[in-house]
Amino acid sequence: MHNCNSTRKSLTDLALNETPHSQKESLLSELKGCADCREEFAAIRETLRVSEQALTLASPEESFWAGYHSRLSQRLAEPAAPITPAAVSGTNQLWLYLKAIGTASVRVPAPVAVVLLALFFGAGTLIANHWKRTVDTVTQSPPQVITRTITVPQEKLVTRIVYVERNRSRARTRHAELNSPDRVANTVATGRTDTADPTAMSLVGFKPTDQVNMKVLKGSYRDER
Amino acid sequence: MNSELHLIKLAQAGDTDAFCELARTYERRIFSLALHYCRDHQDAEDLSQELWLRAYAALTTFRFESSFYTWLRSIMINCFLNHRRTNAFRNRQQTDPVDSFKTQNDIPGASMETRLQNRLVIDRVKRVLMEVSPQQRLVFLLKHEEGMTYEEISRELGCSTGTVKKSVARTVARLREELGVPKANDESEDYISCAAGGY
Repeated sequence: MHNCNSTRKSLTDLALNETPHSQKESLLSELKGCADCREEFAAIRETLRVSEQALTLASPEESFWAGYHSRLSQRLAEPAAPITPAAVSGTNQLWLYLKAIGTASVRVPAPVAVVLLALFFGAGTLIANHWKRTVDTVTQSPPQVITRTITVPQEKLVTRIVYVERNRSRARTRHAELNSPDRVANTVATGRTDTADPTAMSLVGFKPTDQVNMKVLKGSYRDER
Repeated sequence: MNSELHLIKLAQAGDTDAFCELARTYERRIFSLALHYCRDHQDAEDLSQELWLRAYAALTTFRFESSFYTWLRSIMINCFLNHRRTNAFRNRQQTDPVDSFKTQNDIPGASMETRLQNRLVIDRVKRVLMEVSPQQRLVFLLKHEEGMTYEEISRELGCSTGTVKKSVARTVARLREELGVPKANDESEDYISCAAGGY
């Protein structure tokens, strides 16, 4: 069954004599049977013929070659013939060198390139996931309890004994008596200050002990002599 | 061939004149290819002379395992690819090499009308080669001008045979579109007989 589309795909190869010998006969028989494919094949061959002629005509004429050959001989005869066609300055050379590095390419077979790309993207995905997990862990984790030992200055215990009259109303009365105007006037008239009285007053309610503990220090500095 | 081998051995021993004789044999072919690749005759001359200088420097590595031209062509393809990578062309794409120096089309003998018509066709072919990518151009030239097989081209360029095949097909399709090749109904049988006998 003839298919024009599939046949036409092979016509350029046929015109350039690249068709395998096994397929050539069948292709030619298909061309004989299909006028459209035959015309297509003829057009391709005509294109190739015209372009070949055009390229031949675009070649330089005979007089060019003498000069070309003399220039080539001259360059070959030079002791240190520069390989690069144009002499460039140091800066330009550096720039060209950097540009060459930047635009350098390495041929890699397609399967190796696919594997490398897969590895690259896999590593990228893993790194991205790891980073995301780390961020999530940091954001979602409870506040961490950090135990620190802090040196606290030792508490100083100060004991103070304060005598407070238990009956406040009596104390208030006593205070009023002491500050009464009659008592003040009496004190002024007698010219005596009752110094013992306030002490006695302050000891109201104080119950002295029945036993007296006295420590008698025997001897003195003079007795020792 | 014996004289070529003798010249190669002399050149390997450091005889520059012998190498110049070798260069004379292939310089036209190399220059034409460089010209169609670069599209500028000055670039083509620089490139082709660079090729010869490199070949001269590396001549001791030639082991006579292939023909001298095959070895030279490998260096040429590397030169072309390196030139493309370093972007060393002078970007004078608008310059018409036909205006720069005389071509075979300018040889007196043909009528003015024929020369003008040829000039138009040459311009169209060059325009197409200028439009396609450098690799497609190189593949087309290696196939069409050098007669290399798809496998040889793929080996030299380090790509698959399918890539070479597609590249050639695209360039041919583009050329056909640009040239507007008429369908030659009456000659189709002849074309088939040509194909049957080989291109």
